[in-house]
Amino acid sequence: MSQIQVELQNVNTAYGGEPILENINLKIDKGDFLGIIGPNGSGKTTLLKTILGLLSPTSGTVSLFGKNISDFSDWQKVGYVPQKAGSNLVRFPITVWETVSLGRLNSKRWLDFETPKDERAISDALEAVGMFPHKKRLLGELSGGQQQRVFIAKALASHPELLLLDEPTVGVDSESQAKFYELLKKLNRDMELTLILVSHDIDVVAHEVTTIACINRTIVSHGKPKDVLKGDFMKKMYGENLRMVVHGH
Amino acid sequence: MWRAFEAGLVIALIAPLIGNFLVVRRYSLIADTLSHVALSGVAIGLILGTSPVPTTIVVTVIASLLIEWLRSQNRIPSEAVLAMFLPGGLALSIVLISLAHGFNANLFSYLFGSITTVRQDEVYLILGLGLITLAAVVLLYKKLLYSSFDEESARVSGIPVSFVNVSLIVLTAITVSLAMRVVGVLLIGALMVIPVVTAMQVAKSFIQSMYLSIVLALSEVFLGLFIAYYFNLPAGGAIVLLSLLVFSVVAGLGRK
Repeated sequence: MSQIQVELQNVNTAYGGEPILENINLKIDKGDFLGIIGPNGSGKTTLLKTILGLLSPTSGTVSLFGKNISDFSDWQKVGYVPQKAGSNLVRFPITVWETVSLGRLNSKRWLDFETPKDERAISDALEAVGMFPHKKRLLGELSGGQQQRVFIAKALASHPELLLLDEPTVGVDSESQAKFYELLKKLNRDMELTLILVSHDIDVVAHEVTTIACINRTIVSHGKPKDVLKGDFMKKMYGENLRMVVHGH
Repeated sequence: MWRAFEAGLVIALIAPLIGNFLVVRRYSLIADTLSHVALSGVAIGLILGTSPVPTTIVVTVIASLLIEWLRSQNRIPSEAVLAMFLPGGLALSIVLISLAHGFNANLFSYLFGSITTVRQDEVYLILGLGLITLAAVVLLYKKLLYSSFDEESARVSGIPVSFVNVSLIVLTAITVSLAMRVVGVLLIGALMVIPVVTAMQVAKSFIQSMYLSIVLALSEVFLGLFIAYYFNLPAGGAIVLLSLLVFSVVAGLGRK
């Protein structure tokens, strides 16, 4: 039986009077691995921020785990890895452990002192992404790929059921990217974590995710990658000049 | 003399404590801005004939709330907000002082700090508010760190980011007001930033940077006060020059 974790009904958003998203309807079930793709300025990040409650729709409803977002308070069930999460790190003296420990905070806690339970959760999260041996290092000393793993661990530390990632592989070399997607697949498969991934990298996304949603202000197409990406659909979406380069994986 | 040490101890403890969060937020200049605003508070206190510390606290807290509100509106770049309040505070204080036909003798000690004019009741106020500030930072430590590190993720986690930001800026305003008696309004920004930046050259974690900057600030304030006392120099000037010297040495050694 499927269990709907995210539901958007007739969602419209605008910024400064300009519509960004129009009539978005989307259901995301437990265990889905959804890739959201679309051209620049198509509203991918806006969609993600609307699901996270960082932006309010002008009309329509957003529900998380069956609750209207305005009544939703179980935010520890939702992990978020923002775009360019590591861009503010120059001269920010924070260790891997300290970063992941932030993932343990939530609105229901008043005291933030680390308990043994917190320490176990932080260790487990670091183990899951293979960064435990680096726990004492400064985040700023790590490579882009390693930093992304730490941000995943930070999101995992609250034991989320749903993880949203915004362009997580920007600035990460291709070898680390491959490992990164391997990790996401493992989390999706082994921990039954629902994943929503925003990316401009259609080719990679098409190979990794189980469901794909193409947006350009509204949802242009939604379904299994092989159905969505067939025929001349991509041309319609991105224009005639698009060239698809498909690698074997 | 001993009162100045008591007050200096409290300031050296809380100034870098707050300063760590300001520096990583690239908001170091807020302390300098508020210290110029604080001058208006001093002027009001002197006009009213009361101790300037309470009036300064009221004025800087109001200004800090206005600054945070303007910043959160996102219509003006945050450094421009600071660049408006800094001369604004100075302008108000100059006008007030001129209206009161000047009160020269006392003002110099508020500008650059004085070790001989700190009164006992002011020491109690510094001690009390200093302890409250310390407790607030300890209780809000992780929330402050998260909001400084990644405001958006902190919001998603349900952290009351706006409350945390307002708390930080109000604590900054209180610290600036308290510190003015020891290092003077013009030099407090330095005490909130220089020991922190020095500590960050060598710190291996954020908490280590917190501890190290406190140790540095405590040592620098004590040594600076001694030097000021024995060579009859302005306390603020001695402390800031000493902390810059320590920074140069640490940064120089770190490059090897």
